[in-house]
Amino acid sequence: MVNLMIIVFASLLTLTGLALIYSRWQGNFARKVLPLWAGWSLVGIAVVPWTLATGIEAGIVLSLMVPTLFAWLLVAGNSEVRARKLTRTGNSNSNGAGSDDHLGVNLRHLPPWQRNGTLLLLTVPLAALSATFTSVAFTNLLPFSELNRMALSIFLMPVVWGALAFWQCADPRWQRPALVMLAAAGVSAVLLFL
Amino acid sequence: MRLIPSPALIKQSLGSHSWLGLCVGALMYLICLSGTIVVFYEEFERWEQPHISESATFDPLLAERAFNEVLTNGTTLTDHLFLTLPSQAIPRMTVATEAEGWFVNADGSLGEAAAHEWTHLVTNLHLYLHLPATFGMILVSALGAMLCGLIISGFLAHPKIFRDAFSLRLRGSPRLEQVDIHNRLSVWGAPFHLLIAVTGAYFGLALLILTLIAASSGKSQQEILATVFGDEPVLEQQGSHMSIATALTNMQRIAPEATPLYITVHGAGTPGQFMEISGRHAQRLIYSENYRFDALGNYLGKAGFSDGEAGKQAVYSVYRLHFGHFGGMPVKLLYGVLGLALTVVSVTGINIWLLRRKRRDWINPAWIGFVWGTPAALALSALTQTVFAVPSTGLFWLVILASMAYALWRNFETTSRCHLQATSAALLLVLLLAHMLRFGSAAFSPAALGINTAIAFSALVLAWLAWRQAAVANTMVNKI
Repeated sequence: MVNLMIIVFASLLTLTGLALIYSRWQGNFARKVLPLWAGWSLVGIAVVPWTLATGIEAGIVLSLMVPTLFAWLLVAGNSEVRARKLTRTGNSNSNGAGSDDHLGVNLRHLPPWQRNGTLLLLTVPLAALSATFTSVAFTNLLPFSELNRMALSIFLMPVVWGALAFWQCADPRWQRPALVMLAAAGVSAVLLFL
Repeated sequence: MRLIPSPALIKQSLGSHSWLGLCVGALMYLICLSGTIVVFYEEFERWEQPHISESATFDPLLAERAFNEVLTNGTTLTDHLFLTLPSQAIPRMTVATEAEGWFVNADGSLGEAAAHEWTHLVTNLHLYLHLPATFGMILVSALGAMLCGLIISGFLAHPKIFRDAFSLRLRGSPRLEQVDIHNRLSVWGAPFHLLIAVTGAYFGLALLILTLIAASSGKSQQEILATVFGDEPVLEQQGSHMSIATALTNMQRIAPEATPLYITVHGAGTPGQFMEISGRHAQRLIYSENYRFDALGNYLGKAGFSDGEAGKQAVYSVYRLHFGHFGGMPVKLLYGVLGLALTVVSVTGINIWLLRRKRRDWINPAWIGFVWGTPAALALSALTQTVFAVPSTGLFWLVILASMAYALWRNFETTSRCHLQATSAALLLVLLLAHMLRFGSAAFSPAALGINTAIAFSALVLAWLAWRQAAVANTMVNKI
């Protein structure tokens, strides 16, 4: 019962915080920063009751996820239903409107299959290889125990891989990220094996 | 200092986001949809066999009798044997080898074989995409890494993040509608998405990391694994009887704070066999602490997941964090909603790309067939597998292919979407009726009522979506 009351209190704190942010967004406190900071602070402070009610680990996770639900409720409440624009056939872009494909920014001179194949090779095997080697080599430099270094590299690697894949597709000069990934993997391999 | 990215970076990030999203969008949709279902796998397992008698409590002596019956009744033993104890989520006791399992009756005798094939179909779709296990798991984990890339690029490509924070413009322009849904769900859901991406990537990529660490440190992979999971005790014992009741009694004394979840017997039937009782610790994210006992039930030690090094605890918390199994039904429902939202994000991402293109080709109708054929495939496979016990993995993929072929043949997206939504709704209703006919009053028992209510609700939602699409299609016909 006490736990339930703490959870209700945590939810109310989160909701109040988001309501303040929403109110600022609507322009009710135009040019005032305080409601925004107060809103985010309440959302942050809610971690305390969440932790008291569900334990420190689950409390932190829930304090990050529950705001999402409340924010979506506010978004739904603010939704604006407009008159539907119908295409003649019900098919998307059957009228030829819309812009060109914007898939990646580099290697655009190549035919699509060559370009996509090259990007796939660079973002999947090369970026994965580079992320694996650099994550393990980087964590090896930290003053942690072997087990903690191992765990950190396991959680770090997918984020590094994702970031490298993003960079590979975003950089107008495709050679730059590719060379950096190769070099990073090489240096890491030297650090790990020599 | 302004933290807004430059127009060039925004454009580059958007291009990168589009390319990465298109690469993984379709598979991400399958993984997210199946993952949303897998959050409730315990409920689905009960729903598949709702007639099994349930009890939240158990007699350790009866558990011991059931387990030792499997050891001695001629069952082909595997290296590991499992005794799952009744819990709040699944108030049933089962004994299983790595290949088959049985429920334990109230008198300790072995009962009906456990058959959760449809739940396994969905779980295997989520974990492996029905591909060979190792390759499938690495592929799915790679998608977790790509999701990290999508989160980074998505934020950098979204300069008006606060200005648009609560905007949702529906119907008007189809593209604007899809963009708003995609951005609102993904920006506010980012903490969950990042958590799912990193913990999801763990399952397959940990093996690659451990291989590299083993190679670079000159140790074997077994030695590396032992640093996380601990060494197995080396024993030489007479006889094969496992004193499970004694071990459970000792466990109550050693760790009264832990609730036993299941018992794993390692090296079953060999002189070196020992048992490991996995005990749940309240308010912890670790899956369990594992307490080891020899065949006589003497305590040997614990694995150290509850109080070991931070890295060990973190690694053993991944499962509960990824599947939302840490706060009972409220957290499962929260994960269900957040998972469904990530599914919608995957679909709307591709929808935005399709709406931005100058041209229209076979991808447009095929995508509609793929997206709306998947719920139909899940419903039909649940029907054939659960009610008629027909292996349905092939059928699942066949229905998706047939839905894509149908949408390509119709080549009219609104109608295809409407028909596939209506088909899914109808199949769900047939599934519900067939489940009631097959299991009678058990279909209304606590083991099945929740899932059956969810099926009825899903059917209504899909029927409503189909009705809305039909209205749109009629308006178009009238205009023409």
